[in-house]
Amino acid sequence: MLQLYSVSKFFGKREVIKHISFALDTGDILGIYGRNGCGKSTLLKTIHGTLAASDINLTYNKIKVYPKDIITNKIIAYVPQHPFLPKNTKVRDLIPIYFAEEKEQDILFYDEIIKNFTAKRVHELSIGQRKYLEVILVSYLPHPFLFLDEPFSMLEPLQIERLKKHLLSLKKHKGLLITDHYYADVLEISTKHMIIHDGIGIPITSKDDLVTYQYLSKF
Amino acid sequence: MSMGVVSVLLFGVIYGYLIFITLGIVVGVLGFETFRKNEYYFYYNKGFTRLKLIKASFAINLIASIPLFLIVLAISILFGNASII
Repeated sequence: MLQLYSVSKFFGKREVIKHISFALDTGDILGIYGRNGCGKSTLLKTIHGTLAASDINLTYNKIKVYPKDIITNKIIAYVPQHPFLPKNTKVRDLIPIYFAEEKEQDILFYDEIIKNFTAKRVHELSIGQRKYLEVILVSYLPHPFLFLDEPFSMLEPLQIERLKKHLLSLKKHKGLLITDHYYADVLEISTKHMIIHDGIGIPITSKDDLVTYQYLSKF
Repeated sequence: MSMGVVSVLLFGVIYGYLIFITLGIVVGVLGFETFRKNEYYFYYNKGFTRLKLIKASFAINLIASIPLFLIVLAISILFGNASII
């Protein structure tokens, strides 16, 4: 279990995230909502250790862990909001970099969507194809937790449906954290929910709460 | 690599080599930070931190450039038309 007791982050004098806490276990899918600039990506990066937190208290299986150890100990696999795959590399060359075993590679090579563009270079893919590839590629890594920053953005409806099924299947052996403005899709597959409002992480239970905390309008 | 060639032409084989393995890596890191920063995440997911990547790049640069350095040095000594230092 990944237990975040508290994390805060200041940018100058502005406290972007204020003592946010949550627990993430295998089988959980935590959906995080919030308006642009509210600190969703900042929260993910501070836990992952790629952005220094002003204050953080985190445990993994009840043992204190520092964000700098998250990457080296392969605790959290992370799909950032922006493209991160090497642009000039062909998809068929990328897959063996992440997966040495032929059996693992085949899962990706024969994926219904990925199989159509394995000969292309990353920069030749559409935004949706690239995003789908990024999420699928990272999701098969053995890390016990998977953080996804806007996994559904720019995906076509069929890809979204396929991805949701896939993410649900990962629950058996992973804990997932998802943040995306495609809130209906996130609500559908998440087992628990949180909204970041004024820098504070507030647990919510329904779409109505998204209205209450001014993420959605009433109409 | 192009920086290595320019360094050798301008400063001779030994100084050119030293510039390539020291300043070359600095220029490479700055270039990556400026133009391909987000690609770090590709390596983070494989367990490589930024520092680990920089150390590995330096080691690979050093190991790969030694045979090249010796060849260029041998050519410059044999033909004598290039400055060694």
